[in-house]
Amino acid sequence: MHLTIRNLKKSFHSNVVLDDINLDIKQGEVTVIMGRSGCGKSTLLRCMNGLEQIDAGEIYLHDTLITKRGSNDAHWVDIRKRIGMVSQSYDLFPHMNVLKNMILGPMKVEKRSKKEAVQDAVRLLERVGLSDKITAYPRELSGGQKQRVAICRALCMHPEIILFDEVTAALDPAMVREVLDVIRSLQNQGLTLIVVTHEMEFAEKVADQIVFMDNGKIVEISTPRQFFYSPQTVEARRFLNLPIDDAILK
Amino acid sequence: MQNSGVDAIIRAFPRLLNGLEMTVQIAAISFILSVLFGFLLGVLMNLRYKPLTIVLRLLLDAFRLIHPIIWLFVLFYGLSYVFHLSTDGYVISIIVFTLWGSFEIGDLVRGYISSLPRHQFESSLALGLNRRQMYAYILLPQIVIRTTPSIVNLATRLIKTTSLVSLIGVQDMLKISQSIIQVTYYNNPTSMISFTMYLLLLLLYFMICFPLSLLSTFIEKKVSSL
Repeated sequence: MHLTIRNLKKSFHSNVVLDDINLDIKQGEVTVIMGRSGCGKSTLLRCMNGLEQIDAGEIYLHDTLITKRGSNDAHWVDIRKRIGMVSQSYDLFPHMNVLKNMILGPMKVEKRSKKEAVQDAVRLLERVGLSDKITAYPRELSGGQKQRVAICRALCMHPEIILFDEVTAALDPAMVREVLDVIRSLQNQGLTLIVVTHEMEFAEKVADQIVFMDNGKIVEISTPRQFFYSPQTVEARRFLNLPIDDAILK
Repeated sequence: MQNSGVDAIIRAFPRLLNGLEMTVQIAAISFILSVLFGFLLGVLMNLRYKPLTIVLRLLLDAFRLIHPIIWLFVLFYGLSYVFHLSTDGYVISIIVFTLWGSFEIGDLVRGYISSLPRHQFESSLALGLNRRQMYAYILLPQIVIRTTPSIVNLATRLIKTTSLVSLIGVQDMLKISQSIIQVTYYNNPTSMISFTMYLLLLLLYFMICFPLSLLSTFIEKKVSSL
């Protein structure tokens, strides 16, 4: 098991956001987390790289407990090298061009040489078709281009796992596709991907497992085929606008 | 023409230049210290450590709301009466203007840090940067770019306001002008030197501050396209 979550609980003040979450994520698989806005899926993702502190429970990376109480910044820096993240807001740094955005992490966090970092960045940009934007500033890029660069920036750190937090939610429909294609291209490269998204078609085609959340709980974990065509719970059927028959309601 | 006082000014010009040097020196030293301490204060005010925030907030208001002249007098006389320290007007001036400038810049920096989008902090962390690196590579460079126009603007205000130091006996440009005027009047009560002298001062202050003002406008244009 690549990432294991056991009995995870998280509240903001008296508001329970994550309630007893248990989840196993296998190496090299794509896990898509779905659910209504506010169901806790983004918070769950943010717990996995320490952007949120959990209240109870454990998260293991392979067999190592990564959510020890009182762990310091340095601990999370080590974890974040292995678990990358790309999020909804275009989070490129506005005062740096594309190349500088990409080599900052490799050079400052991983202490790799500039030459090596640049080579890596050039290779990755080529792969997503943005070689000509290498010296462009974020403000000169479209939303889709920014997100593709942000994905490359995460890849520059050679993570084992990448978390995608609604990366297409703020994009024009025309640009959603180019970003999703890049994520798809990462499949079968040994990378473990955990994707929070509302894109059903993407989820159905790419996911190895679908995790459906409702109200801070995981309600259903299944294959895409089962989730989209014969979901087992009322909540999932409601979410997918499927008829709710008596057999389930029993 | 012989009463204009121009000849007296020409004779005393080297002294006037000494005054100009004093004015620029006080402004420049205070300015450089203000930038250093200002950035430090700005970061400290963002630490969300309650007692520290409250103290800094009080000091900030004290230095912004109370006129520098009051601070000059309070420190100048206070240190000598209360602590029996022999006070040097020059040092007191630099202390007061440094404190004033530091809190002005500190507040600018604080305001800018708290207006930065939250995702910049998070994406820095998510990238594996530690807090020190986040400030060094992500936050401070942007703050420097954004606050530079206002900081250059502060420099011109500092230069103008240093004229107050003449009131605690510092031999700055204003103080020396006044003493030149006094001597000239003593010898020639019909001289128009007051007018000529202050006209010259006006020009001198303008000549120092105008290039800074142009610089500030120039930087502001550059920055707004970023």
